[in-house]
Amino acid sequence: MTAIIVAADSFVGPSRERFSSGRAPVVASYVILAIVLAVVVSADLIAPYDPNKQDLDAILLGPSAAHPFGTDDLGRDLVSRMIYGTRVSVLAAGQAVAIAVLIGVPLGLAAGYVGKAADLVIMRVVDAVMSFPAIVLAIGITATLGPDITTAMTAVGVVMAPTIIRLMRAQTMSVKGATFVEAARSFGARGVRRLILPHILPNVIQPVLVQIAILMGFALIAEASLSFLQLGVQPPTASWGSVLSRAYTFFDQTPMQIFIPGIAIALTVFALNIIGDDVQRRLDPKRKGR
Amino acid sequence: MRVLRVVGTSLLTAVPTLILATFIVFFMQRLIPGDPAVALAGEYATPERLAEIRADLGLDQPMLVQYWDWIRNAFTGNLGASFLSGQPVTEQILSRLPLTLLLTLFALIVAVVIGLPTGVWAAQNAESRLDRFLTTSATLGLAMPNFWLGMMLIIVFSMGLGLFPGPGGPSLQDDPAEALRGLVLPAMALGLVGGAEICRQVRSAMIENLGADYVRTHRAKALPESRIVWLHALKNSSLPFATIIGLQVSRLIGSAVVVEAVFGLPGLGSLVVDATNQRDYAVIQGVVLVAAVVVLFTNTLVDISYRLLDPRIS
Repeated sequence: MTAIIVAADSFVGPSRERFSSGRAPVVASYVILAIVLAVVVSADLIAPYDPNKQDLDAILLGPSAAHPFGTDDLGRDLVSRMIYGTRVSVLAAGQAVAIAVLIGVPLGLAAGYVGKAADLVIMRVVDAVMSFPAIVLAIGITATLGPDITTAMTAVGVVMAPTIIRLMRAQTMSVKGATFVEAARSFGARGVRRLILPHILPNVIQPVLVQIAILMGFALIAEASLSFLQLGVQPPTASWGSVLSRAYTFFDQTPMQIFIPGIAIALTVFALNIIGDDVQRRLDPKRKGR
Repeated sequence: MRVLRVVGTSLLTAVPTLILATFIVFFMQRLIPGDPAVALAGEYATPERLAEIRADLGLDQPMLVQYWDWIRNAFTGNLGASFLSGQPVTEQILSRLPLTLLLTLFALIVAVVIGLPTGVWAAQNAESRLDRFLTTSATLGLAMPNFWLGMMLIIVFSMGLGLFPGPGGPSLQDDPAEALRGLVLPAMALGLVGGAEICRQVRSAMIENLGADYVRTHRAKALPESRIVWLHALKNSSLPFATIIGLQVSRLIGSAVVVEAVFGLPGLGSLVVDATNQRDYAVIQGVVLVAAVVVLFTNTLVDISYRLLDPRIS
């Protein structure tokens, strides 16, 4: 009986994993991300035209050999605008995530490790920031400071920071009483430089790395949303959001043009989420093998 | 009696958050670069006009006095007047809020109707082909900017098939029936993405429950699988479900702002976008505050349901 169960288990277990197509989206995601990063790095080399060069004799053209994605309402080549837009969008999202991490990691560590009053104050502020719909608060901050991509993405970084603070706090609290921390303390390790940075941080940072992938996706969508509302990237700069916004204004004439930036955003965010899930699965100590 | 105590505790915990949120909104306005009076009146305003504005806004008062005046007014429903039209901000917001709330509600219904059953199916068939298909589709759904999805829906269902009205329909007050029809596509655009999120969360909550001992006991006594899944396991997943709904309301309101712009709907979104273009700070501040109040209200409801559903949370 036991043998049968074991046999059945091993049959439905690993073999099903092996025959399923479960790894295909993961592999595809790494490929998508690699392509996006390659475009960010080599935009100047691969773009066929100057992204801001207007040609008023060639406006709103459909796809052709000279302009595979067509041209926009000012006759600018869309392939070039998408290529440079990729760089602008990805760097903008990266800026927002960097700000969220720079705010979130130290505050989360402080709330989790120091506890007491520091924890209470930090977490109350986190609750308050989280009571705003993220995009609405980002719109409010950007609108007040004046529309600009750097401002907009700083605001997005601020509204994303609470996610990292909560995560870091929970992680820090869970390792605070661990034996290795006690051991380090018994050797006299105290304070930020001798205890927190070398012993606690490396043991709590992993989930943040997963979260970075997810937040990067959120920031890309936020860039597109804010630029669509003309609060982010300002003309003539191209970004995925601003190309989409422009294409939507003329979408009764060239409806296909809104597909291009939309698909670029959706595929990249999809890849980031899949990779985030995949890394999380690998890091999960409860899952063996794989 | 317990219900009263639960409601009281939840309301009390919401108060400090609300106060801090009002601080954030108040200090947001202090971010206006340079002199707010100049920003409001323009560079060519006379010194008298500037002094008048400063006195009007209480900018010549200490910061805490300004905050106290603002918050006292806000509590009595006075959010100031639009700098441009002079119209009370509260009035403008109240005329736009029903549409945004209605859109959020419709979107939430779409999200639950899509996300709940697919999440349960995925969990029931965990690690199968169906599960992989559903979770991959959900991840793809999550990756789509909902305002872009809205454009796609306009192309297919409005321009292509002519089933639903496209952007720029009548307002809720003028022609309620047509305005409601106009909400179908934006609600779909918001709800499909929300449904993808709900699907993922319900799946993981259900997988945990379906592996629990009580489910094995139910199976051992030969309870029909459908009852185990849809009644017992789902009921035990209601706590995470309540959390998801709370989070979704916040996300949907945020996204509704952008989706409204795509569909030209006269809700809070277009109000704040117009206010932004005209630098109408009082309106921006008011909309951000109202959005936070709506979210806090929902979170408090979620918190109350939490405490009522799970007696262990005191």
